[in-house]
Amino acid sequence: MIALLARGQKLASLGARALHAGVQRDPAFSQLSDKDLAFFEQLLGGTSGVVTDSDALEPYNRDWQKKYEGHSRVALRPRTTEQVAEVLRYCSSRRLAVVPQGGNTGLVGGSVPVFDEVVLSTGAMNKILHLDEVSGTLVAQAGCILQALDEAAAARGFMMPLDLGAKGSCQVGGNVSTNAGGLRLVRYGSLHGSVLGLEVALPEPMLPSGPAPTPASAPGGGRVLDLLRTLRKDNTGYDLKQLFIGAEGTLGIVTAVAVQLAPRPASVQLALLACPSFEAVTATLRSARRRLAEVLSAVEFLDADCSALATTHLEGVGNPLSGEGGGEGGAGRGQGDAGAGASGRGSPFYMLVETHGSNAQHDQEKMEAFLEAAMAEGCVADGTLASSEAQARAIWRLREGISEALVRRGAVYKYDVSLPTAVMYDLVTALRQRLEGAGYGAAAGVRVVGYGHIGDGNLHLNVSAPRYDDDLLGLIEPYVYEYVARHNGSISAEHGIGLMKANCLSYSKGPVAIELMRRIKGLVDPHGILNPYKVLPKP
Amino acid sequence: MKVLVGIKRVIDYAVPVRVKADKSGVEALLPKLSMNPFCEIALEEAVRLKEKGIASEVVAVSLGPTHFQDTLRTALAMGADRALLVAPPAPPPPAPGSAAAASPPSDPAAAASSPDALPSPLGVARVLAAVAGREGAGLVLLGKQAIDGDCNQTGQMLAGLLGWPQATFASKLEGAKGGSSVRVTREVDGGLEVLSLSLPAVVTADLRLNTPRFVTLPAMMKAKKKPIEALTLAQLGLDPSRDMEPQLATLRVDEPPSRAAGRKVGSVADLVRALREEARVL
Repeated sequence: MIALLARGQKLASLGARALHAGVQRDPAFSQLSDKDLAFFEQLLGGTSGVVTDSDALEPYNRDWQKKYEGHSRVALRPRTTEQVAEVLRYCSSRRLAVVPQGGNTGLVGGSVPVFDEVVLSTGAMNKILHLDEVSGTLVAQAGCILQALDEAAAARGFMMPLDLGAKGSCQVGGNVSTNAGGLRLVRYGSLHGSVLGLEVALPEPMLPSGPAPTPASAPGGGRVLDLLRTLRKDNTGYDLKQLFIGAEGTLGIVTAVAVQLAPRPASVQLALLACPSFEAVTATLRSARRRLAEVLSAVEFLDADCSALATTHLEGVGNPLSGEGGGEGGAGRGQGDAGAGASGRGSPFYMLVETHGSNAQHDQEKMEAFLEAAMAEGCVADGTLASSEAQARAIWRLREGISEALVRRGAVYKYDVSLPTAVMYDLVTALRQRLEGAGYGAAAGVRVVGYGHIGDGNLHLNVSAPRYDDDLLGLIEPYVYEYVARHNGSISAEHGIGLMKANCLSYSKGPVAIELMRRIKGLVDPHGILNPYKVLPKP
Repeated sequence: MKVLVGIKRVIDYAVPVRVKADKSGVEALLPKLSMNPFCEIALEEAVRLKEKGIASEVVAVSLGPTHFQDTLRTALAMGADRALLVAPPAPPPPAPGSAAAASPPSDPAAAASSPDALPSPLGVARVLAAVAGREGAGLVLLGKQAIDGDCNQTGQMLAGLLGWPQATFASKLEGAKGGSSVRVTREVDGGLEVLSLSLPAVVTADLRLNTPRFVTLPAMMKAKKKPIEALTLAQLGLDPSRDMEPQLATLRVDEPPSRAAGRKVGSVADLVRALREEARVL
């Protein structure tokens, strides 16, 4: 899905420099030498496991939004956990910095080198290890693509407990390391709950003190943390795996994941709704929670600008309620088509409401009752219920394509925040007014849009501009972070910190918390070789 | 002019299917049933004719078990004025020696997906002919084929039974209010063919005829009040043993052979040898 990079959009060097501002390469790290390359080639079996060609290195060095670019001279593609542990052992001894990289679909510059860090890609570790149908558990190597895992689960009547727009490219190890949220967190919970076990490669060996096996003889040299159990309940000591879920590759490299699958629903109902105001959106959310209750599986919202963007910049994507877009055979009602009841006018907000259940008749009745009530109460002005898989996919494409559409339009400043749901959209309006007042309004080609997981209190705030502009960035940051901090919200609901927000952690976490994080980092990675410059602020 | 539209409920075309273990048919990996995409296109066209004032009434008709009502509700929500559900004959016993005979399916949904449980196109055509007569239809719009049987026969047989002109694989349909003919553009192998048909006529819809609309909530609410009439074969003057006898028995369903992985050869000589001796194309 996010496989295509925006065409004709060179790396916005202005933007990149601003985003890297203040970050200097740590002189404590060594430079890569030919001897190092020879070691990697010998360990990983020649050139298939070691990428050094400058063209081939491009996708490893740059993120898909083309906002962050490093200049690593090598990308490694190990196939086994032992190889990962051995690479870490070597890099630690040589003081070579390492960037763990999965599908490279992150949105905060956390998965690409800042300077010349060695890229360690999990892409070649893509085997499914085990699927147990009785317990509904799946064990897979970290490099398995999320969509592939979902398809394997589907063949046995299960589904992965998370879903996101990047599913065609993102890898499960990266999902875990970033604690990815996605579209169905409101129903299936976060990875902190659905991950049953992990296998992690650590940068330094962890072995008990006293007479003990020497590091060389311990499995993985004491660097492999084996927490790979498929047990739903296991209260035996500290739950270490939780540390690595969301650590963004700064504490260890996830090499295998055990996850609790959910039964694949027999019935999926999806409605696209048009709401006349944000108050109507929140009222619809409350009504959906109450009336759809246990079958509610996703609640998303988007504003009119998002709908316009997605239908304008993406092929064949349409909004059946506004009549926008569609192209040949798309979701739109078609230009000039006399569709009965076509309003032709957009609505300020749209919502996607989805249910997952075991009984189609039961779920349809609940959905129809909810929709009738919402229309009667005036929270929903118009809507449509997908009557086939094809229509459901067309509706999801409208919501999932917003990110891609933004990248195609031009420069994007992307924010992902948690705020009290009732006032969530106020931030979008406030920022829009602020930028308009400073000359960065609609006339200047700037659009401030809001969409996201309203069921989780998670707003995706995006500023779309014709080009990256330091002055514009200065108007957005730290304004957005300060606004969120004032509301006791989170400056990163699900995208993570990466490089982008590494100096902003204090907007959402206090000094005691940050100090404890530093100490844990220092304990697990004393030489700081794993994903440096990211997550934790400069001391 | 009254337009009659035939509607079939099938496994949703986006749902992956696989061949059943007993090779008697296919099964869906998800129990999702939807309107046959070509029937949906035919219905959309009929509703547009009504919106243009060319058709006075759109009647949707299905031949199938009770659960077909869900799809007829969707048809009503899309704009059909009335819906008819004709109860099918009991499915015939599987032909001796066929895979289905060896292991009969235990639940109705599974039975529905075995090809021998579906009335064959000639039976369907006879039902539609009877309904067209009963309704006084001026135009019958059907999908060109159903995505489960892929027979592409019903429309043609219906036209033959009624003695009406037919235009199949329609990619464009033009008519005039109060007109006595319609102009149909057909997609044929060599390109496009334009026909003029005097009414009453049978037209089957192809993919590019239109893009079916999404059903809006107000339309869905209104559709609940529209009636779905239940009919029996007897009411249509049809006798299952005489008119609905299956024409075909499915003996076995197999997956196509999987494509063998390609391999690289070392030289042009090797390639020529492989093409001659293995692929046998030279």
